[in-house]
Amino acid sequence: MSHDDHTLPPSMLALRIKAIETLMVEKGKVDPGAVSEIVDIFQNKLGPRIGAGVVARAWSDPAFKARLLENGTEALKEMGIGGLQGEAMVILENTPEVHNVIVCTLCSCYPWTVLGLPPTWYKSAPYRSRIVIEPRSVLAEFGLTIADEREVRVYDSNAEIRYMVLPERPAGTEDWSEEKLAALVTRDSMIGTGVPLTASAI
Amino acid sequence: MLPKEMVAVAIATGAPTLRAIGTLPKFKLGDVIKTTNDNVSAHTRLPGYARDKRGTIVAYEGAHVFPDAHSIGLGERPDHLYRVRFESETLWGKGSDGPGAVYLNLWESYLKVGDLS
Amino acid sequence: MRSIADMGGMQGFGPVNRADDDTRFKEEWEAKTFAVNLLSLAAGCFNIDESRYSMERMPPVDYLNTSYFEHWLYSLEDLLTTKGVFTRQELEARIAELVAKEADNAA
Repeated sequence: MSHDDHTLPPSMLALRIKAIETLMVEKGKVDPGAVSEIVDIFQNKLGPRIGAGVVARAWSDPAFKARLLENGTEALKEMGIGGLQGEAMVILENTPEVHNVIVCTLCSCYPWTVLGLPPTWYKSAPYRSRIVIEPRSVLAEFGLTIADEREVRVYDSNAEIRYMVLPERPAGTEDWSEEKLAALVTRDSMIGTGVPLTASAI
Repeated sequence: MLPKEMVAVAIATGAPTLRAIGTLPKFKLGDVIKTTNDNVSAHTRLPGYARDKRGTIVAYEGAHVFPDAHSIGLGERPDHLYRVRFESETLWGKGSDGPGAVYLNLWESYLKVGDLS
Repeated sequence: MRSIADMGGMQGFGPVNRADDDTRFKEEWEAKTFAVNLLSLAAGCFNIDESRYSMERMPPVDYLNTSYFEHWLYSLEDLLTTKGVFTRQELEARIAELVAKEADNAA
């Protein structure tokens, strides 16, 4: 069986990137083994469970939470978190007065180190264009209603500072372990388009 | 060429854009600024919606590689970077969807002193 | 530049398609495009600011009608040829070879 066996003919897109890849390998710019290494890290190792662990720790440990809000990059290093598209992290705390949500209107930058790769909707024109001008309307599409008196803060990630939302801790979770708390933290709650699961959910 | 064995380390290290520069930041927390209206025909990270708008400095992020220069072969030319808050009404006018603000990271060259009124 | 990518505040794009929720690469070509892009950056072929600028210069209609990773593919072709890592002719010749090989495989 050849390495290239497949049931459908490859699209032009597949041929275009294959052409580039083979030329780059021949020119000594790309190590073919490195391609699969990168894909493995981004598909299987990085992802929102990392961010959920950070949130759970912040909920459980007030001193850590204070450090996290003061200097996100350094506090995340305590947990061995950092690197590409997370070199400069700022954590945004949701409160009864303030709801935070992140976007990159210009291109789709996203905090890879804590959330992995973004969902397609985050990179789409409807989200990128509308979340800055009508956040409540967009959040309502996500099933989230924000009280009139609460301020919605939209952070547009236009430089290399990357953001993550620290959602509010659900009621009725006192004395829960970090592991159990982490299970309540959804990816969307760390983007700001959702809130964590309620205590009764698990 | 990045070899396979170095990929994990490279991803864990990333490519920080923070740099040391010789000038002090011009703006401080709480300063009112106005974003430039100057035309940039090439790459910039000041979105159109925030041009010529009044905002407030809420944080200083250090000096970072300046994309407007770095994207067109002029080198890194790092410049002071600030987090700036724009009231939603300033950006979008009255009748927008509720109390809110948009925050952007803006380089010093995008900013001038704003009117307090 | 006030490019098509500079879309913050534009209205009329309609509802966010929440069903597009997946974060995994949908097809192998997306994964390859992502990885080759990162490796090209690591090899110093171009920098991230050049990469973003390249995508902004896609013809607007194409930008809106293509997927995120197609933007990345466009900028790879643009920058790697502009920077002389390979020529347009080399790229097109390689694509033609691969197309012919596919035709042979199918036959």
